[in-house]
Amino acid sequence: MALGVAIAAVIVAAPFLLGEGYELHLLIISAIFTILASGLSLIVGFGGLLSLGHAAFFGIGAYTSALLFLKLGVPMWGGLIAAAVMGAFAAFLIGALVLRVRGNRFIITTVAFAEIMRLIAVNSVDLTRGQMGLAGVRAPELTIPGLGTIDFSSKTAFYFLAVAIAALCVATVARIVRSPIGWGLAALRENERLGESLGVGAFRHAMLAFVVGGFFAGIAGSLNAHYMNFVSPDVFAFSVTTTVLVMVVIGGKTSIAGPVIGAVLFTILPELLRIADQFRLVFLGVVLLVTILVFPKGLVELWQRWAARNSRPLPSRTPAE
Amino acid sequence: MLLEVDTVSVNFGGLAAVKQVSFGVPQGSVVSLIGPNGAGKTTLLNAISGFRRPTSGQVRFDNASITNLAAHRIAHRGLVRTFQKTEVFPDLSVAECVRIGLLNRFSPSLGEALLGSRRLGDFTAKAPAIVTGILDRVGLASKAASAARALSYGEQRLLEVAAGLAAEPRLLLLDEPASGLNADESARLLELILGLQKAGISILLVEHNMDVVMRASDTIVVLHHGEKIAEGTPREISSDRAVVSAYLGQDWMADADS
Repeated sequence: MALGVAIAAVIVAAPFLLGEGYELHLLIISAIFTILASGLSLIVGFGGLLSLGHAAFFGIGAYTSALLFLKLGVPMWGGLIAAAVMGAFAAFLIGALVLRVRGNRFIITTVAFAEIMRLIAVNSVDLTRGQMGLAGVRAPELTIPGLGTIDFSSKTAFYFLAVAIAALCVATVARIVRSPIGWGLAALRENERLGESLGVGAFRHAMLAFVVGGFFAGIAGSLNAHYMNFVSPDVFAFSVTTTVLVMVVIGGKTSIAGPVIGAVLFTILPELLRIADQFRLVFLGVVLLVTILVFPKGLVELWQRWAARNSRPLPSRTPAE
Repeated sequence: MLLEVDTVSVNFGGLAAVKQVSFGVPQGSVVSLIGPNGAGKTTLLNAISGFRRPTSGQVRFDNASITNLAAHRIAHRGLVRTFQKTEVFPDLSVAECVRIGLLNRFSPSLGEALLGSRRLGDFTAKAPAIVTGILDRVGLASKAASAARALSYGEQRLLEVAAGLAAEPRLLLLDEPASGLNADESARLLELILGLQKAGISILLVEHNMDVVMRASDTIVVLHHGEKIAEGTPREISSDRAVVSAYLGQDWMADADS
């Protein structure tokens, strides 16, 4: 409780302490990646399905929102919803194709789907301007009667928006995994055959995790487009997927806080170390390897071990969450 | 007849593992399926429970065909199985493993899980007490918080039965539940099976432990090379020459006569 209040205070105070500079930019990116990571944790962590195509849904969200804004003048509020729906719909289509037979075929299809989407974005020059990307994707404004207008092109305003949406996404994941749906996901992850024999539909639960993950990724894509004011085919890059995957695995893939910790850490850390871009993946690889060896459940384990040592022995609790 | 197996055959390529087998499980009874290793018992259980499609024939449960249904849909109708090779959810606690079985009674939609409903609230509120009750019944209450992987082999077998019970079966298919159990544990299992029968749960048992089979069964079905060679009461079966020579051996003949 005290910890929660402290964290909330830091989140609220951050823009006023940091100003509108590069540091705040990193926190906004952290929030966007938190949305991606918490969604992917539902698929990869809680559901135990290795998906290597998360960038597809991120990119679909980004282009949906950007094109709606540029071609039809729809502000981000509409684009955000459309992006989420499109992300979820794309996940549903891919899921319907390959989630019945999971395993290698699923993994390969997810990779291929993201790459196909990237190639479409590169080659549909009339619509997407190809590699040049779409510029001028402006942030929205929000007019509250009697209070005035908030312009989200200010970093501070966008920061609060992104953090609020990220918090909502994390809370949604928490609610899902603590509900009976979470029990079903655990069955899918731990022993699908036994789950089926007990009436847990593996396909249904896999699809549910996948579609919610796609929905969140679409939201993240829309936010990213309107924050950066720009979308290019790079949103579909495999490195987007691997970055989010590293965040989930390192933070803790079957925990609620894990993906958040991973997202913040792996947005900020590479910048702090000021490692040149070509070493970024090497660096991520090494950290991934070491974390998996030392903390197989992710960095949240560090906290759990510390908490266990500093509290009186509690009556043993169930290990989930 | 709760379960009707009607001329079911299962082929693996050119090999007929189960040939034209028919038998039934009446409501409230314990039926055992016995036979030498490789007789097709587990294959037949898989065909009944939706883990393998029969090549031909029909399986009916409660007068409706379940022949081509997916395993979890068959479970929804009240036919739940355990596995020959022990299966648990290794990283979950014992209580969590059993809790998963409760999903067979009620599984909320995404909207219901996010927004809540009275039914969901009731269900999650009652779940811990139901789980505790089941763990008590199989004798695992003291292990509720242990990880499933940390249990002994015999305890894991009981845990699998417990999870099956949480699924509220009308018919429970047990695939060699006594294998690897010591004498004490086997006795407890026998008691559990008879208790379940009293509680109205029908049981189809595949088992090699003849003590358990003879004492628990109302009817015994004998498979040999994929074919049914006999069906009858324990007494009839233990004096059936074909069964004795194929499977039981002379000791059982003597026992039954004494």
